[in-house]
Amino acid sequence: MMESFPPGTFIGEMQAPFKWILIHAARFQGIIRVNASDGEGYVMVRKGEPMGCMFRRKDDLLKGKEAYSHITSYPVVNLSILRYSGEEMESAARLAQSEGAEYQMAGSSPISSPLAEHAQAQGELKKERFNGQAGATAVKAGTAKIPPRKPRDGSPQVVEEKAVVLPSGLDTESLAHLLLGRMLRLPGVQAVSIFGRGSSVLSIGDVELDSLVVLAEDMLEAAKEISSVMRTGPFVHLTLQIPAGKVIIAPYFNEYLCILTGPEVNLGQIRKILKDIPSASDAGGM
Amino acid sequence: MSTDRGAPERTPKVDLKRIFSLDGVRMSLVIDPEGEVQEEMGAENIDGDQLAAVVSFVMAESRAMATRLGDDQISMVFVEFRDIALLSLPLEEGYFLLLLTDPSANVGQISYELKKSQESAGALQ
Repeated sequence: MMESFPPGTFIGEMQAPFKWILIHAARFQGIIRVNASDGEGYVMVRKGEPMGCMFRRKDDLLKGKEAYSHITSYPVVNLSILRYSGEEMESAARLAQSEGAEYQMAGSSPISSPLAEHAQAQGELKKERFNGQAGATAVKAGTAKIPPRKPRDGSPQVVEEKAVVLPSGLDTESLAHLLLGRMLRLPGVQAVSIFGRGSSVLSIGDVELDSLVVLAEDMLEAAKEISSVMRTGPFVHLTLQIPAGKVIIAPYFNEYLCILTGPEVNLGQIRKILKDIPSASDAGGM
Repeated sequence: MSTDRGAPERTPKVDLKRIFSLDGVRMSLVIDPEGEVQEEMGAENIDGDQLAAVVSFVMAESRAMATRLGDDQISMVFVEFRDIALLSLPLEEGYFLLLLTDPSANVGQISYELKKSQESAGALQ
């Protein structure tokens, strides 16, 4: 179904309600591959709006609005996010249109306006070049088969993933979920999860963190008690270091992040990313 | 000021004075497996017994996480708040060393010194 689409730049994988990702993708353009219990498909997204959609459910091939309704009916789906350059987006839009997968939200631009899209994408690319990130973000245009997701260790794809730099000029809140992907690209980071009230909201990475969330929350509750016996100020983070690696728990808006790492991780880099999250130190104040 | 609570014979020997002298350290305590303070130094405005009790709970939960991850031992637990940070290192026999530091303290340097101390003095008396 997606074999002919441009490869794009891999951003990350996560489990989340599909609409949640759209809320946090105000400046994102690319394709989001969807894997659900009854099939798989894709949603092409531009500026937080679905532009094309297809879903294969056993023998049924759902397209456009029907596919989108099906994907959003799931409380949580597995998502694989690929960012597109302007040219890739243009190419993907043409493919989606030829497949009859076009999806147009009320009031949004039609999928078949590649020139305007291209011009805008060129502008964004120029901005990135100005920031010295062109080499990291520019992706060769053209159609190619979407490569299967490879394991992170030692695969050639890892090199490319580590080179990904977030686009500049985005408001931090819209980028919040992409910060998780940025963390995941740090050497040694194995998985990142957002959790709250004993359950995982979403997680990205090679390790399944859902079962650790309850324990992470127990650690957090225990740490909260420290504030009851002395003046501490708001909680900033908790790091458990064991020989095999580290578990880092930090506030994330009204929820918490749980980061699982190997022993070689650079904590300074993680703390720097955590500081980029607005109000991180206040939102989790205890 | 150092307070020795009449520690039992098998209390780990830790040079609290040296640890307390490290930059940014406000308080240092040796806490036993029951969550009681065996020795403490500094921060007289903080109730060491209460602190020991709650930090023991953090350590217990951290051990549960470590076990879940397949590691029976903890190297260190670091909890940072805006106004203070806590660093905890297990010693022998369920004892652990707790340090309260300024959030701006050089945690890398302190943990390095602690590990040195742990290696040289982790053995029981």
